[in-house]
Amino acid sequence: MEPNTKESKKPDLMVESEEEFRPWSNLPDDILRQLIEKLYPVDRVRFCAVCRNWRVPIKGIQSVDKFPWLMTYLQFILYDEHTFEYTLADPVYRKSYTVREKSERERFYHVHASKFGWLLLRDEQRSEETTTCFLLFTPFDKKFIELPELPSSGYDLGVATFSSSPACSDCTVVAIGGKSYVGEENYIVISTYRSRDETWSSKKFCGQIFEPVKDVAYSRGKVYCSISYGLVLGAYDVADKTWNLLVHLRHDGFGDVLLDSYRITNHLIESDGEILLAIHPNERDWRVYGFDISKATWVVKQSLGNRALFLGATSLSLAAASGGDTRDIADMIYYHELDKSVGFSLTKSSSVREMRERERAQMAIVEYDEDDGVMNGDDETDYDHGSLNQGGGNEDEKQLFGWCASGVMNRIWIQPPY
Amino acid sequence: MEKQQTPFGFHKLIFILLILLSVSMSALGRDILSDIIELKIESHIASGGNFDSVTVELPNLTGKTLAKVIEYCKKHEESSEKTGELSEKWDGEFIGGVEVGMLMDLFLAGYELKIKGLNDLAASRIGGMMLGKTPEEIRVIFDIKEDPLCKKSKSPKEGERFARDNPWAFQ
Repeated sequence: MEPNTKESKKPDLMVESEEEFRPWSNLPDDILRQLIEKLYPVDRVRFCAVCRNWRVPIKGIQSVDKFPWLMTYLQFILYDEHTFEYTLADPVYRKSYTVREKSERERFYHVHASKFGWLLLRDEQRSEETTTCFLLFTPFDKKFIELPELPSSGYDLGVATFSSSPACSDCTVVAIGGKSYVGEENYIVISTYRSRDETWSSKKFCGQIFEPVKDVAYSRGKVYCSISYGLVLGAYDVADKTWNLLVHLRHDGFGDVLLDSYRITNHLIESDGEILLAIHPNERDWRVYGFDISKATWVVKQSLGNRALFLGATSLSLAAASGGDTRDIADMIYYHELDKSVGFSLTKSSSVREMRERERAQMAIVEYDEDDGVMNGDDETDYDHGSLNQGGGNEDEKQLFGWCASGVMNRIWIQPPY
Repeated sequence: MEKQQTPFGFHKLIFILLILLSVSMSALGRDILSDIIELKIESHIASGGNFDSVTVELPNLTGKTLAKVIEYCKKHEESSEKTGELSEKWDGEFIGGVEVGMLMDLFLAGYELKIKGLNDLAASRIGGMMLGKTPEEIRVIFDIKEDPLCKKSKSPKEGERFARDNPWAFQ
């Protein structure tokens, strides 16, 4: 007896429709979310436009794809018509989307942080000598959250970041400024603003700081601050409101890395609870250090393992998943230059090679392995980030997003909120 | 014998047993499907019911879909006995050969019978078919019409607003 002889038993629900299958336009949200998990950001937005039933809140649904997008802009405003314009580059479909928006006033922003699909901006138009205005902005659906004015009289406000998605109730914004001129009063002011609070709360710490904070990383309730290229590492505990110096190295603390060039950039990165410091001592080189709590110092990293670092306004660390779309980015450092965004393989770099002369050379980036494809139907394309890593004759350097915007632009990594 | 109409109606145990018999109980062994039925009967008896009147909740699958579900379970039981690993190739061919209309039924069956592998396989397939498509193309592929019974926001403005907020996705 064949099972399909039982078809006549199907319930009345189906009788109205001639099809013997259940309708697609009346599904529980749970089911829809499972489908959305399989989709990339653009597809998620389009998914919601298919029919009314499919309109579920797509923010925060787990995603296999964590690869950041590239946002580029010349200025946030074009002065002629009060329009602000920027481009979002989608690494999956290799497509650039231009967003243009009319604005009732001139807008000029400085980007302080980029996290969870949101940017923390300083409104240069409204900020004055005595106050600073911050706002949170998501370039995807163009939502603004204006924060209360922060009194910042008499000092430079250098860095700012935030803890979690502004959609969360415990999102905390931190802004750090201070005075650091030798011979004058030295202090650091740390201001925090908790989502839905009325005002900022600020705390001032005197002494010890002789240079401005260059970068911050928010990790587990603490704000880590790098000072003097990371020779000094401080941490501010947001709940306890305490400030501690964790690392305090001498000028030659990084050995052979010369720290006398104004071109040197450094980034602090939170990576799986670990604090990393990436230093770019010259055009050809990167060094990465991990913070060792027990020794209160930096320990050089010869490899990032399966991680990739995206350095920028806010640096982020991604674990290259064993499968999926991030498998080829392991051990890479991606960063912006004036007119391009490039990748650098830490293990392959010449300086690290020297360090491990006796060890095996050439073990990092392998070309995309064709046989390693994911299961796919006939009519789908295998969208693969790994293949974006092409180009660039230099062995140490691979261009990322080479297909989109060129020219001198402001560049920001941004993770889609969808 | 039919229960009141609910989104997912129920069938009588006897119906399942007939189907299970038709595909040979021995081949199913301690198959997930029969596990589920056993569990449901146990909990029914434990809660004071008697065996004569036992009903087993089963999503309203058509026989065709259930046959597919059983085909999937059998294959996975076999291959896990033999090699301990499941063949991705077989999965791909299995789900690739399913017509569009049945895909959602298989997906729901996997979800409701808690057969995670099938649930995920069907979701991946459906998701894969949507990649890079416009909403209109998706409507055509899956033959989706607006359901008048849908309880979500009646106003068409809602959808327009969403599209207006994210115009880049429709470029």
